[in-house]
Order: sequence, then structure tokens, then C-alpha cells
Amino acid sequence: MALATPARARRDPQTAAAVLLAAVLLATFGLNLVNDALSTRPTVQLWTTMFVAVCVQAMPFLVLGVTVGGLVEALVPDGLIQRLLPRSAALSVPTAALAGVVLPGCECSSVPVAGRLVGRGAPAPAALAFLLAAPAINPVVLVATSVAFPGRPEMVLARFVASVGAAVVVGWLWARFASDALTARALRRSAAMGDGAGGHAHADHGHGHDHAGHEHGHDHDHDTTGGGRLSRFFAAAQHDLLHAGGFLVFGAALAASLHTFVPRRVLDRVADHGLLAIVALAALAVLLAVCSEADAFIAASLPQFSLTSRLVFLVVGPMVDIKLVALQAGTFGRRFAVRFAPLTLVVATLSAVATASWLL
Amino acid sequence: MRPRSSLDRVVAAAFPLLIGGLLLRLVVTGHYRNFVKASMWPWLTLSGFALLAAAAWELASSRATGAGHRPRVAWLLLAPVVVVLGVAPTSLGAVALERTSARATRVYEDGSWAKLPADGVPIAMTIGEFVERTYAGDTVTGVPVRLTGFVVPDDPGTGTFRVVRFRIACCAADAAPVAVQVVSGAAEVPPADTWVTITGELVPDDPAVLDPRFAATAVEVVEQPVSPYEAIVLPE
Repeated sequence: MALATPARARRDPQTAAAVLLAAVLLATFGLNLVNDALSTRPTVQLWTTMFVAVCVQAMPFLVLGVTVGGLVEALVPDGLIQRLLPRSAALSVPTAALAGVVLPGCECSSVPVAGRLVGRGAPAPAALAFLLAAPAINPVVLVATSVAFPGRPEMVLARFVASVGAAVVVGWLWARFASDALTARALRRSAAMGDGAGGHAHADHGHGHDHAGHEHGHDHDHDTTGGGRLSRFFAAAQHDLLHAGGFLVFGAALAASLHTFVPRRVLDRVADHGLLAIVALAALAVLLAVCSEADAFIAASLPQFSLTSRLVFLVVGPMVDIKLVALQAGTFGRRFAVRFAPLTLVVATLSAVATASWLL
Repeated sequence: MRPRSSLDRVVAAAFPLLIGGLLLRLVVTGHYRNFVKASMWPWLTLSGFALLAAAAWELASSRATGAGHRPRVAWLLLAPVVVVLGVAPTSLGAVALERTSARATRVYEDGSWAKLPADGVPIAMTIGEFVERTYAGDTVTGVPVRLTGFVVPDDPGTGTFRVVRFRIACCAADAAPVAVQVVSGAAEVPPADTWVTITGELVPDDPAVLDPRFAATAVEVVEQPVSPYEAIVLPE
């Protein structure tokens, strides 16, 4: 272990991180000293209460999600995915979408898992269908939806149906129309992405830089020793926690700002216009970037909007939002994300509207 | 990759440690009820300990090399810690009401609510249920009730004030207010955000009024209830 000389400390990112951490904590206590002046300002009171509320509410779900994501990373053997999926796209896409029910995580855990599926040889359209469906139809999200909409079990069913429908349609469209170059590139990137676990870290964290042609050795088997698996588990969970947690907090800040600074009258005005309300909540879902476990509670806080437009919010949110697009761009490439996101947005909105007119 | 220093471990461990510590601290002090439902404590406790376990692993892990750079967005994870430690937010009160013109009421049909016993003994209920009952039928007309909420004075000089509660489906971010307006029976208007239990009856009125008018026979200052927020009560 190298001791940090002054010159090295300036260059060393870890030392810089430690200094930054200390500064943040010191600033916290400084903030405490001026708290009296701050807390008399009503907007500060309101914003901070709502911000902390969303963070605290969503955090246990996020921890659950990254825990299961870590288990999947550590325990699923190589080759299992290919053996389980049907060969044709027509069948593998719906199968993979429905398989999403087993992954109780927010969309942040489904992205690295889907990346690993593609890297293991699963067909891209199936992996993408899984990526879209898993955050919306897993048990944790469905339970959260039922809790947030007490007395309305049809919302849970509608969310399930609309989300699976949208995931399957996107998967089929991708199988039919996506160019091989795009898929091959996505394959290369996800293979290069590696595990993020135990010593083979090859982090590509959503900043879009290109690793074309840089095949990372991906032929290694899972380390089957207990220590290896535990290490993979914690590394994957920590990785997902840092990514998803950061974006969750960002979404919480946006939600708090929305509730604090936008007079409810503005929302009420839009709420009454059927088509405008749908567009508004679809846009809100994209901008709000809250994890799927928490978005049901946000939707529940907008009772002035129709159930249809709120279903649109619930179906669009886990599939395309600003943090998710960033994660997808980082994992699969910017060109991929630019095509994938708008396609998903349109399909998800239409699927939700169609399902709402049938079930709600 | 250069070898992983103990400083790396500390920094990496700090993130789950601080978040887990925050969750556990909020449960232990009871402050979590300012933000989420009181029933959330098992979830918060469990995930708090899970995060501490992750932090412990980071410190103890024998990985020889660093695990790749931390994404810049991860620093946001510290924001809730900073806010709670620095600003110590409280539950929503009179100030929050100013920002909301709408009230949190669903529309039930007349007859949805069960009749109440009419033996003259005041019945304790949530403000939400009381308001819902006034909107859907006349099940509370002539029935003495006991309600608990915090005071929001009306314009000075009118002598009236509202008793308000926030209802939440899940957390404070979806909180929406319900209120009654006390129009008689109070010697003086208590200060804003005072928690009171009022006993009295509905003043039968034009149903279009936003907050049902209430004639109090008793206004008692009380401690803030264990949970400042009301749960949503549905008709049977």
C-alpha cells in the first residue's frame, strides 16, 4: 500500500474522494449551526420533508433490489439462460418478458443483468424484453402498487398487463427491425462491460465512451468457491447501490421540487384534459426518474389525474426515464439508447392507454 | 490497477454506512414517522442492517485491486444524510397547507358509510373519515365526534380556525390535507401548529363548503400523536 505523499495525494482519486467525504460531513454540521435561520423558511421546510420522505420510503426497496441483483449475479450458472429460452424470437421474447417477474429490482438492477444476459449469448430482443418488463412486474413493485392504491386491485393487474404488452412489442419490433450492426455493437459493449466483480472491474458507467474492439476476457467460469460467490454478490450489490441510489436521490429531489414549487392548481388544470393529462404524466414519468418501487406512491399522490394517465405514468416510468437512458447508454451504447428510448416511450404509452380502456 | 489502500476501503464503505446509519437512526429516534408510515419500521431496520453489512464487507474485503471508479452520481447518496443531520426536517404543518388548494377526498356515493351509534358518547375518528362522511350522506349529522389535528388559524379577527390532518397513501410526498373549520366553542384561537383534540358536532351546511364547519364543545391541547399523518380510512 502506497503512502500518500503530498504530490501523490493531489493526483490520487481515492485520497481526493476521502477529502471530499470529510468536507461533506463537516459541511453537514456547519449546516446544523445555521439550521435555525433555514428552518423558518417555509419552502425549505416543505422541500426537505418531502425529499427525505421519498428517499426513506424508497431506500428499503432499492436495497432489496440490489440484494437480489447481487444474488442473480453470483448464483446463476453460465449457459443456463440459453438452455431455458426458446429458439425463435416470437417465443423467446414473451418468455423473457414474463421471466422478469423473478427479478425484484428497480430498473437499475435489470440493466446490468440484461447486459450480462446478452454477454452470455441470450438473443438481444429477449434480453431487452426482460430489461423492460422486470422493473415493472416483479413482486415488490406489484405489492408496492397495491399498497399505494388501496382498494384498487385493478391497477395492479393493468400495470402488469400493460407492462408485459409493451415489453413484448418492443422486443418483437427490435427483432424485426433492428440492424445487426446495432445488435452486434451492443453485444460487444456488454461483453466488454464485464462483471464489475472481484478484480475484473471494467466499469463503464454511463459516460458513453467507446470500447469497440476491446474484448475483455469473458470466458472465465463463475468462481464456484464460496468466497468467490460472496465477493461477486457484494461487489454487484455495491455497484448497483451506488448507481441506482444516486439516481434515486436525484429523482427524490425532483419530486420534492415538483410538490413544493409547482402550485397544485397548475397540475389540476392539466389533470382535467384527457389527452393532455396522458402526455403530461408520460413526460413526468420520463423526467422524474424514480425507481419503480417508489413510483406507485408518486402516482398515488396525484389523485386529480385520471387512472388512465396515472397508468401511463406507471408503465412508462420503469421503461424510459432520464436515469435509465443514461444507464442504457453506458451499457449498450449511445446509438442504442437514442433509438431505444423513444421507441419504448411510444409503445409504453400506447400499451397503457389500450390496457386502461380495457381494464380500468 | 494499483493496490487498494485502506483509504479506498473507508471511502467505499462510507456510502452504505451513512445511508444504513441514517435509516437506523430515524427508526431509533422515531423521526421516521415524520416522513413515512409508522408501519415502515421493519423495512427500514432490515435494510439499515443490510447496508451496514455491506459497509462491513467493504472494510474487510480482501480484494487486491480496486473495484473500478465510483460513479459521480453516487455522491448524491449523501444528500439525505446531509439534509437530515443538517436541517432536521419535521412533519408537514400549517406552512404546507398554504400550498394546497385541493383537499384529499374521494367521491363516495351516499349510503357507502355505515351508520354510527347515536347514544351521545363522542366517537373518535380520523378527520378524513369525518369529512368523507359529510360529503356522502348524513351519517355524522347530530352525532358527537372527537377529532385530532393541528391548528391553522383563519384570517385574524374572524375567530375561526381549521383543524387539519395530512393523509398519506405512502409517504409525506403524497400527503394531502383534510380539514374541518371550527366556527364556535373555542375561547380563543390556539397558535398555528398546536395539536388539539376537538369534541363537538357538524354544523349542517351547504355541502359545497370545502372544509365542513364544526361546532366544538371542547378544545383540548394535546401532545402530537405518535404518527402525525392519518391513514386513509375506507368505508366498509
